Amino acid sequence: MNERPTSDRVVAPDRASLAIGSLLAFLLLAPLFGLVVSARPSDLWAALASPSVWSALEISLVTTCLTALLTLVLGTPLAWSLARSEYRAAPAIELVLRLPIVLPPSVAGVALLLAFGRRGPFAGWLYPEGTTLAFTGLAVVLAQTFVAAPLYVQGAVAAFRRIDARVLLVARSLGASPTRLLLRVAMPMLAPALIAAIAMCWARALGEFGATLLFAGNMEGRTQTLPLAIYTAFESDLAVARATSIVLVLVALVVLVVVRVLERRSEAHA
Amino acid sequence: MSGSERAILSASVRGRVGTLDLDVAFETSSRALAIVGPNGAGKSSLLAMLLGARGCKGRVAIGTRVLRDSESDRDAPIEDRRLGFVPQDGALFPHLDVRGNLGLATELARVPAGEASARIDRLLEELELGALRSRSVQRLSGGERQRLALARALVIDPVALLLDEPLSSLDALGRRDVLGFLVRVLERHPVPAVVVTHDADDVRRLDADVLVLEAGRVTQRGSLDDLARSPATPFVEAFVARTLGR
Repeated sequence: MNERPTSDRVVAPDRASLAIGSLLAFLLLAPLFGLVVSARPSDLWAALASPSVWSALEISLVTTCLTALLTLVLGTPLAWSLARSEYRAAPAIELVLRLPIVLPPSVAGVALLLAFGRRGPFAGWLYPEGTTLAFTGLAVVLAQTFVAAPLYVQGAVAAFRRIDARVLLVARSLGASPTRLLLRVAMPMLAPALIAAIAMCWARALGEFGATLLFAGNMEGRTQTLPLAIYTAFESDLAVARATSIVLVLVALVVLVVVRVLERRSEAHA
Repeated sequence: MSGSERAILSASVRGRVGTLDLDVAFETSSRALAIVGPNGAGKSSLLAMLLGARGCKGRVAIGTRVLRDSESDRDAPIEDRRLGFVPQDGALFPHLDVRGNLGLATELARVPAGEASARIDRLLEELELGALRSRSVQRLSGGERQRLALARALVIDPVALLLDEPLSSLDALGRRDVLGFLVRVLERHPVPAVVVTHDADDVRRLDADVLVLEAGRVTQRGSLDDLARSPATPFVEAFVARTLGR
C-alpha cells in the first residue's frame, strides 16, 4: 500500500463517504448474513428429505433452461436487428422492450394472464379447443421469459453496438452473407459478452416469483418453482425455506462471478 | 492469379454521401492507382462504392465481370464481389489469432479446406507472419496488424485490392516495413489495386498512378512526375511539393 503513487491517494475517498456508504453496504449484506448464521446443518437434511424441494428444483431447472434457450434463439436476432437497424423507430422499440425490467412482476403476471388467458385477445387462434396456457409449465416459461429476456436483449444490443463497423464491412467483403455475418462473425466475436448476458437472464428467470405466481400458479409438481417453494415452506417449515434460500444465494453468487469473468474477457477484445 | 496480365478495373460512379456529391470515373490496370485528395474529398466513399455501398449509381467492372451497372440494374452483393479490402488500422477479427483471421476469411469466402490451408501457409510465409501464426491479434504491432490485414485480403484470391490508408496508423518504422511488403505484394499478385493515401512518398514507392479527388470530382490524373510538371490545382501543387522538396 505504501508504494502506491501519491496521485492515487490524492483522489482517495474521504472518511465521511466511506462511513455513510458502509451503512448501505451493511443493509445489503445483513440479510445474507442472517440467512447464513441462522442455518443449521440439519436444515439441509430437511430440505433434501422434502419431495416438494426436489420437484421444485426439477421444475426450476427445466423451465429456466427452456427460458434461456428461447431467449437465446429469439433474442439474439432481435438484439442484432435493434443494434444494426437504421430504422427511425428502433430506439423507441428498444426502450419499450426494456419495460419488463422495471415493471412490478405482479403487473407482469396480470398482463400475461389478460393477454394469454382464456379470454385474452389471442385466445381465438391460440386455443381453438378452449384450453389455456395459463397455469401450465409453459406459463412458467412464458412468465420467466417476459421478465428475464429483456436483460439478455439489453446486454446483447450493447455488445453488438460495440463491434467496430469496419470489421463487419471487411467480413462482408470477404464473402459473408448478412446471416453468416451474425452467425460466423458477430456471435463468435462477442461470445463472452453474450454468455454473460444469458447468464444474467437465466439467474433472473431462476428468481422469478410474482409473474409466475399470478400467471402459472403455485401448484406443487406442476408450476411450483424454487422461489415459490420457499414461499410455501416459509409458512410451514422454516428449515426447508432456509436451506433452499441458501442454495439460491450460492447459485446467484456463482452467476455473478462467471458474468464478471466473461465481461472482463469481452472488454479485452473490444 | 492466372497470367501476369492485370485485369482492367473501370469505374464510373455517382452518388450522394452525406453532403458530398461524388461523381468519379477512372480506369486502372497497369499498376497501383493512388487516390489522393484533401480530407472529405470522398476518397473513402469512393472505395465504399466500389465495395458495394448502397446508393451508388453508374458502372463498376473488373475485366469482363460487371459488379455494378445501374442501367441494367445489376448490383452484385458485396459478398459476391471478391474484393480484397484493407481498411485503416486493419480491422482484424479481434477474438482470433493470426491464423484464425485467415481461416475465417477463407471460410467466409467458401474456399475449400485443402486449398484454404495451402493459401494460408503461402501467405503467412509471403508476409513473414509464420512465426506469429498462433499469436492473438491483440498482441501484434501496428505493422504486423497491417501485414495480416493484407494477407487476409489476399487469401480470398481477390479480383482487385482496395486499400484505405493502409499505412496512416503506423509509426515511421512500421510504415517502411509494411510499404516494403505492399510493393512486393503488388508485384506478385497481378490484380488492379486502388490505394487511398495522404503521402506522396508512398505513391513514389508504390510506383502508383495518381488520381486526385477534390470535393467529389477528379481534378487530375497522371504519374507523380506529370503532377509535378503541371499541377492542376493548389492542392496538387502542395501535394507534390511535399515529396519533391526532400
